[in-house]
Amino acid sequence: MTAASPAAGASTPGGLATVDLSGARVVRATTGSRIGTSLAIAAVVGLAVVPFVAERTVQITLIELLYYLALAQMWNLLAGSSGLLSIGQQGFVGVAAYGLFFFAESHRVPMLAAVLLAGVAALVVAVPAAAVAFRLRGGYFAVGTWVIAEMLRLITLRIEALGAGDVQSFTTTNTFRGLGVDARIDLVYWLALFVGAGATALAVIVLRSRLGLGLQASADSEGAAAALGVDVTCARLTIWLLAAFWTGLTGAVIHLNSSNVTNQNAFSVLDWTAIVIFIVVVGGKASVAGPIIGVGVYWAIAELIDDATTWRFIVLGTLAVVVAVVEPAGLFGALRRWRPIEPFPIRRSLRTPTTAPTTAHPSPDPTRGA
Amino acid sequence: MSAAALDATGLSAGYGPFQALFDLTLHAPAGSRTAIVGANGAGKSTLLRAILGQVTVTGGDIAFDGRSLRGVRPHRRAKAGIALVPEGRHVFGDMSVADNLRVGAHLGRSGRWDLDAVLGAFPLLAELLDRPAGVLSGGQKQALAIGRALMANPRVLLLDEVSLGLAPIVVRDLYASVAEIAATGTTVVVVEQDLTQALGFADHVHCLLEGRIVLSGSPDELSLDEIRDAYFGVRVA
Amino acid sequence: MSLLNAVVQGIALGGLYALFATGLSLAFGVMRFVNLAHGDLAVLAAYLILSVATALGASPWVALPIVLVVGGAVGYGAQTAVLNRTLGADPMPSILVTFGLGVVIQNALLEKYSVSQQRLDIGGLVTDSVSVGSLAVGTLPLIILATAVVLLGVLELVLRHTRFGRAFRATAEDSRTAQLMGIDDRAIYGAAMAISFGTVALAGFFVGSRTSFSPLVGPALLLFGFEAVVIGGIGSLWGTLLGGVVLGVSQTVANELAIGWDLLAGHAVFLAVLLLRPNGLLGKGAA
Repeated sequence: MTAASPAAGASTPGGLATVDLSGARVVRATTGSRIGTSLAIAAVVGLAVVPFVAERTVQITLIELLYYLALAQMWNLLAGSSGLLSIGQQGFVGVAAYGLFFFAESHRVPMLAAVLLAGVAALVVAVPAAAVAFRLRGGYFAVGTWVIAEMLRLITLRIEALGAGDVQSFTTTNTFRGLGVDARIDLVYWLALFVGAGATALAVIVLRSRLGLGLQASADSEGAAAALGVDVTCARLTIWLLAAFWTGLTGAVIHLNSSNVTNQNAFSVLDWTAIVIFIVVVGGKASVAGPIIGVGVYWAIAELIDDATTWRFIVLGTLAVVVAVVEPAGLFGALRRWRPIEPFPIRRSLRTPTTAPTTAHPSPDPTRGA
Repeated sequence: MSAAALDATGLSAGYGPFQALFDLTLHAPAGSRTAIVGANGAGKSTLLRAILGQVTVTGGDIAFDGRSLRGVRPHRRAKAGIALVPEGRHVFGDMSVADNLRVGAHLGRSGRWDLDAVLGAFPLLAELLDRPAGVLSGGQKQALAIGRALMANPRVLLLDEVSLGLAPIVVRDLYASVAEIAATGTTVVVVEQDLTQALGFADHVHCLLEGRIVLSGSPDELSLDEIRDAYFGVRVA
Repeated sequence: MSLLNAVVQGIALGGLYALFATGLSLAFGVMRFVNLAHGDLAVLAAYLILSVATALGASPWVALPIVLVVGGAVGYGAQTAVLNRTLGADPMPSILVTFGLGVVIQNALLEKYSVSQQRLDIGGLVTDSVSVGSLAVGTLPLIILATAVVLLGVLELVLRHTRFGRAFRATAEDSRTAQLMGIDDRAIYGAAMAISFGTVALAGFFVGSRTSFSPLVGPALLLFGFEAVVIGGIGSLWGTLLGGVVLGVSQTVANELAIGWDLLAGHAVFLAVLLLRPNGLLGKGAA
């Protein structure tokens, strides 16, 4: 535990701080966050034109990084900001993969509508999943979500219409409706950009909202959140469903990209949850910038050892374990300790006429961030 | 085992960012009976937890038998001979009364207190030995908590709010037992909100207000009014 | 008659699950710690036994005690050196660390031993069986079940009647107060993890000799062990055995009724218990 720096004002003998709040107002934007937001918008615009200017291989690498960014932002909303430590995200990816196959390939629903419906499919299974998982806490919630994802995998394995475990392909005739390879990659690329940038924007919106404040309070202390008048279960359920839907959309994009579905890969805990957790833990949980930094680290490790995925897991996993023990707030947390930067307008600051803005943390412990 | 002295010098301590004790100095000689009084939140329990090493000490030092306890982990302090009867009793509710007492003797420190001696001091426990401690009444739990601490044959016994929530007659009996314990040569420090009990028991009283000692003296030197003023924060000239 | 046979097989299988669950149950009971690498540790132990036996040119039975002792020591070391740092009111650090550890173990095993199936060769015991009337039960499953019962019985006795056991229970209930009695809670956690690693190594040995194993089966084992703990009731050692047996029987009976539905049926029974009896069949604490 580190002591929080006292807020502006003198500490009284009782240990309470007094702050003159006359004329104060709550602001979210700081110079840093204005620059950060501008950079983020510029980055999205820049990424959007990549298919016109860059090599195909760059585009293919970026697709992977963008869908990992989307998965990471969603897992972070669940675990980092709401205390819902899910190890069952692969369940939503897998259901969406089969949903996409069902709608786009089997029933020739137009591709974009099928992607949307795949997200809805993940959303639908998230409802009964919540009925079970929300009875569990902490480590039991983690393993419980894992069991649910495993059940979803076993169930799809039994459904004849989904191929009963055989490899299913997305064909040019049905799903892609005659699109050429280049056009297909471009389309998948833009979809990946949409889910990645959209997940980041969603994270900012959620954390800015009243819902986000309540969730952060509940991650710190459920009692405190209840005392603030926040319906913790309702807030968590909202985030759970949102994350399931967006993880589903992302899962559909992932499988459009791979253009086939196999039971093992669609429900892979290593690919769709472990890597995602490592990305968030290394980058910094409970922040919007953390997953972006984490994806960067993932890219660097993947570039350095691109020949063997086992080594990728070993290096990234070891790094995540070390970070989780040594610096629970991740690289972004370490950065913030050095300089209090916040590139996204999610932190509420109190601006008084006389003092510089003082950041209001929902948690008194900066190592856990907000 | 002989009694030992306890010295806090310039002690500051608290929980995380919240500071509860400010530059506090207190001396409890070997074999003495000290009472610490003060209102809720004055820092009394924090002081006892600091002596056991269970809160963060940010300044100053505590010495036991003349040796600094800095950096010594809580179980090692217990091993040195400090026993705390915590506020709220904290008996192990799932374990039997007998097992609670046996856990108290975990360290195997020898001395005059063993199962028989404790049952002699608290006869009511004798019939309850096989009961789960969780089902005992408040007074029985308090007796068990004190008995459990005695099983360690401590050189310093710290008692936190032993009278809280108990009937007056139970409190009287408990204090009679504590006085006997003190008479065996154990240094005793009690934290107490009940001024009459505190003054009747101790040979030295310290009054704590907002984490600082504002008044000290022997019960003979101090008037009840003086202590009340200090207790509620009316500054004594 | 084959249904009865399935029940008997399921009970024997339950012994194996209980063996897995014991370490999980113990660690959770004393420090509210869920070790997500538990299954991977069993697989790691099986591979270590394989390697030690191969290196010595001896039977896996000879390698077993060596790996058990090493496993216990590593458990104590890991807990006191690293895992104690992750304990606290927030369960997230311990979950993240053990999950990461599990993934690293899986991939390190893949790298070292490849994805192919392995088996511990313990001789004829695997095919031997004991006949009771028309029922034939494998000798090895019976040995596994008996081992689980004996192990749980010994643990129960130790926890109930020894100085260590009392210190363990006191720490489980209220570690801060246990410190006041001179009990070093971190050492108790270390001991709990030593027992946990030791028992899971034993479970790994039995898995490896009963069927084949490969680097990635750890998570499935973790889920079975976890389900046994929850079905039986958290905080109850005999509940863990009952939970293992219920899970084992659900799987074998379901497979008897419809081949291939065993895993799904096991998970479904777990969910049903969770919904209808959230504290498990014998447990008192809330999940």
